[in-house]
Amino acid sequence: MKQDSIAIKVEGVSKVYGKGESAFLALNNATLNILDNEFFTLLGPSGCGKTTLLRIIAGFENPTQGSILLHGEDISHLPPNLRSVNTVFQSYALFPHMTVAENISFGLEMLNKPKQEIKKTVSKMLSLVHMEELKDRHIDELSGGQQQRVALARALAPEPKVLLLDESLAALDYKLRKEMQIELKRLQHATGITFIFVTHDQEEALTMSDRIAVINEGKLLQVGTPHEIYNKPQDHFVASFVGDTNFLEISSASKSNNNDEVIFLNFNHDQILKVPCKKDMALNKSISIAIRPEKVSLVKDADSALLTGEIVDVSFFGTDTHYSIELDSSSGKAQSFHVRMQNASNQSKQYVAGERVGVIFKAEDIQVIDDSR
Amino acid sequence: MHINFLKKRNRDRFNVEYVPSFPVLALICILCLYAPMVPLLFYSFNDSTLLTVWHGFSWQWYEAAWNNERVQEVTLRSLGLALQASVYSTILATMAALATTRVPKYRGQGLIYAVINQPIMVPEIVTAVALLIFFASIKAATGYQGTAYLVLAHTAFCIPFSYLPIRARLENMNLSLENAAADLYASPWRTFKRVTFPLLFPGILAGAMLAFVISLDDVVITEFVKTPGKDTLPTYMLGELRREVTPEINAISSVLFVVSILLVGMTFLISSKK
Repeated sequence: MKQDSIAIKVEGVSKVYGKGESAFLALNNATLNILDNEFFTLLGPSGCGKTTLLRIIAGFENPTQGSILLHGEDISHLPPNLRSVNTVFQSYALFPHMTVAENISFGLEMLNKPKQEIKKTVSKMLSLVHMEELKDRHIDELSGGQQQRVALARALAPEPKVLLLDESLAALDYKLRKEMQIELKRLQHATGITFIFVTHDQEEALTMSDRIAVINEGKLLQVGTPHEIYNKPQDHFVASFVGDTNFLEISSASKSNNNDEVIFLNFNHDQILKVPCKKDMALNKSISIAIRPEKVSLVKDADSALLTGEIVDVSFFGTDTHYSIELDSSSGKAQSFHVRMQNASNQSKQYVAGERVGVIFKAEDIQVIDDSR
Repeated sequence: MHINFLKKRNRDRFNVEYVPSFPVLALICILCLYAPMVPLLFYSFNDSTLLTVWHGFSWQWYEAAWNNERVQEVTLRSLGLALQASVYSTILATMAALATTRVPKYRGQGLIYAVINQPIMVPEIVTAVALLIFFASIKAATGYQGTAYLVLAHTAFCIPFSYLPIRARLENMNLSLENAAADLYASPWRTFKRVTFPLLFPGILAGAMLAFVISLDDVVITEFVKTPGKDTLPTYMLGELRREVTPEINAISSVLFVVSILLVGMTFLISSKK
């Protein structure tokens, strides 16, 4: 499988809606490479610009600046019907006056494929999405999940180079959504087509994607594998939007030299953790770090701990227990900290609300957030 | 699922159907509207030349009207005129509706709505006089005397009636359907042919039927624009009423009434169809 060639190249794309004072910057100088045969997700809150980028790739919007390359060819100013890119719309946009089979064959007919080939492809698509029996139904006779499948089959039938999926699972209920997530991964493997998936659901993004781009307020914040996005968030927003995170302000930190790629963080009892950071990070103010709640352990012995505090809330979740801790603070500003401990065995210690505890974590689980970016 | 949701929302809102005595009020309104029609229909079956004295049931006035060569002539003229006017106005209205809903918002769009709907708002007599003078100057310049003037005039005032149902249909049509067609390699023309037009068709049909009815019963503009001696059905009836009133007019009116009701009823049925 070829993994290294670039399917979609987004080069400095900006989109401005409106003019003058009411102008709105929906997308701010986005640059991005999406690889061939990749399941790529654009993740961000609603209104962040991810759908705008998708619509620019599909050709429904023109970029104000920048260009879109499909396998090296500049397609920025081609109309949608001349781009080998198909879309699964959020509302599905199935043609209500056609049957399931007619919907699926539409794209092939528009490409003037021979009748025999259309018939063959349509029946292949129908079996791919398990809809053989319903091929003569009209769209309004289908359930939401079935409509979703037809929309997928219709978009996949012409074998586009890239398939765009615009919040395609958002309208489905929880169980169906889980099923379709697996289905989508299966279809992507079966067809070998590059999928670009838009979602605001971080869990969906983490479970399905090969790589994720996190977008907020029109800006591309970080691109990486689910592991990189989750474990090495480079940005305050990425850390808080993807998964749960504890943010800590560390006022006592040092760098032996400004160009160093490590930073020393001082904790209780003169304990120092050495943590990697960006080379050019300035140390003129307090720095903030992010730690995932499941990377933290609690200890009874507060003397050896990095931080100390008092448990204010305990919630039992079956597989794990969530503790809410109020940290001791010299400045008097209360800071809460969340810890998630697995209930792996009966021996694991249980803590109760009101108990004083120590908090420990490893240096490698700390992510330094450069807020000056 | 979607339909249920809509129903629920409609029930939540203020709904005049649930106001006490609504059925009674509705009945009174309908009576006021249709009561004057009753004697017209009733006396069209009268076996007498008298308009207001009942003599017995008969089809004689319908037969008389059917066999009246003048009536035949003007009816055919009216139908031909209404057909032409409704076809032309519907084509123009469809183009206007596409141009006012399927393009990005532009300056002066409000003005364009006003211009398209102008025939509904301007008093008919004003349009009639204006057309009379306008066509008279063309007649003087070209010498042409034919029916094209009448077709043109009817087409013009039928446009807003065709336009409104077509535009309503387009506005309810999700633009993402046309986007989806374009996304699936359909050129703009094929998108229109395969997606927009089939979905718009009920609106177009409704617009055409409405225009047909409007053209069929127009008196004022026709009276001013028509070539002398070339009456349409309504202007013929007006002329007849000036001379003598016979139940034959009742019979013709009744038929016109029923035809109009049927066409307008079908218009609403078609345009409310999904």
